[in-house]
Amino acid sequence: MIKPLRKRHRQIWMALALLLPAGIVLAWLAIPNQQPVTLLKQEPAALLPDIIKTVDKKNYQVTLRSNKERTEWQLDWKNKTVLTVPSAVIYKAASNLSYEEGYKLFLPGNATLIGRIETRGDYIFPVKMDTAGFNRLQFILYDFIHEQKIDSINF
Amino acid sequence: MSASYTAVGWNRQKKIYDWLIAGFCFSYLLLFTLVTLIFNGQVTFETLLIRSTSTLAILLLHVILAIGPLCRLNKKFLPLLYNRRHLGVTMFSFAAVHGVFSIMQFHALGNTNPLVSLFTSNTNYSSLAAFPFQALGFVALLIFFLMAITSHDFWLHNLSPKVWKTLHMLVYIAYLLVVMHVMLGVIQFESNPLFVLMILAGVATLTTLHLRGAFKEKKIDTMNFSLKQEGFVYVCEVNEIEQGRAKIFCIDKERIAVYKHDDRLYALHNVCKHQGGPLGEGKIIDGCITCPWHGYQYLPQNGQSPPPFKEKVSTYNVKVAENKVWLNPVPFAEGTEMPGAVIN
Repeated sequence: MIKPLRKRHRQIWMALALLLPAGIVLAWLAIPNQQPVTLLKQEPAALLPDIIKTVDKKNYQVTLRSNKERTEWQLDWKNKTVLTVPSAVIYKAASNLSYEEGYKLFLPGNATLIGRIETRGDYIFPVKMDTAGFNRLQFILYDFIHEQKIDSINF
Repeated sequence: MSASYTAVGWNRQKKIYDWLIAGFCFSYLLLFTLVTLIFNGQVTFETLLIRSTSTLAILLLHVILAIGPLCRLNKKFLPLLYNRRHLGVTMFSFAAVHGVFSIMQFHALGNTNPLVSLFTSNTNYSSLAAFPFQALGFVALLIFFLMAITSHDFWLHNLSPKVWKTLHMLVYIAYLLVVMHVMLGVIQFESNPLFVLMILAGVATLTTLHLRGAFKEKKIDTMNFSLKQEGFVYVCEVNEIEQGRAKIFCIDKERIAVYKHDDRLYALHNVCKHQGGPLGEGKIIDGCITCPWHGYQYLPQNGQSPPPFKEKVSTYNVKVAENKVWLNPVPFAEGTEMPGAVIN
């Protein structure tokens, strides 16, 4: 190296000796003092004691539960594997009220939303049972973004 | 050293050097992957790739920047300097993998051009805490890219040493950008102080080494030679110079290396024509002064590279009287034949 180059190197490192620590300290001070993030989640409801019927599918297990008096009903949904559809909701319908057009399913007019499920986890939803009872009950797993049926579970 | 351009002038030392680099990088990536999988089994391949290559590139950058001053402080580190450019290109390759996969992961899934998205998805340029740190990394990567593609001697000769050196000194700006990329990026989300301490340790080590090396060199540059006689300057005693080695003196702002070889003393300009390496820190090998940086060679009696090479450096008049070495700091034309001073 020639002398001017050595001098330039020295000047650059003298500047860096000031700039680098200053930058690190400023960045350190700028770290936001964030509170720990806690997941907003409802406490899971207690499971009703009587299992009325269980439908076991490859990717999930669906159980209809009730109390002794048959005044309260629950849908117990357990994902066994990760769902590939991130936008899934469950509808309740009577089993003979839906119709298909090609691969697309239009929800029946009287289908009622039960709730939304994520790709993983277990879910418990309260279900209102009408006079027809559970014998003609159907749960529809529905992709609301692509507007198509993923699966239907008949009880 | 070669008379024509070849992609890489391979020799045994370069092969060993490159195998060591490859072995180190492979071991680091393997270790990083294993440790990550032990402590975070849910990590995805993309995340693992982005993190492992970024930390490896930063580690290599620190090693690269430490080699220069280490060599100035201790000659034992000179072998590290020999193939530093390969280490630099390796570092750029890992930085590029980190950059490309990060852009793909965070900017390539929308409708906006990924490079436009990189600079416009976060426009908090006035905020320190929310600063778009990815832009800093991108600019640093651009500098490393320019350095990597111009690292061959072809570009050194065609861009001119001055332009080439100026371009490659941008590495210091790139280093500042990388440090701030880390500090304003990952450090803002990681609560573990270990990361800050590691960066601080790296910065402190490099700054100390560079400043120590710089002030050691400054000491040589400001040496005073008061004893003068008919244009000659008394520089040292004959026995202060080792056989086959040189001692460097800075007279009138120029560094001159005085070599002892076959019971004679020879004086040459200290700056190698290749990349400005310190010729006086090299040894005489097979009768040729050999630059410690990249092995360029010059004959001590005329400062010319042996044929077919064409590099030449200036020679100086040197004499010995009563075991004292006297040097005339006025240079002869590059490649001028000088018989050397016979040691009594």
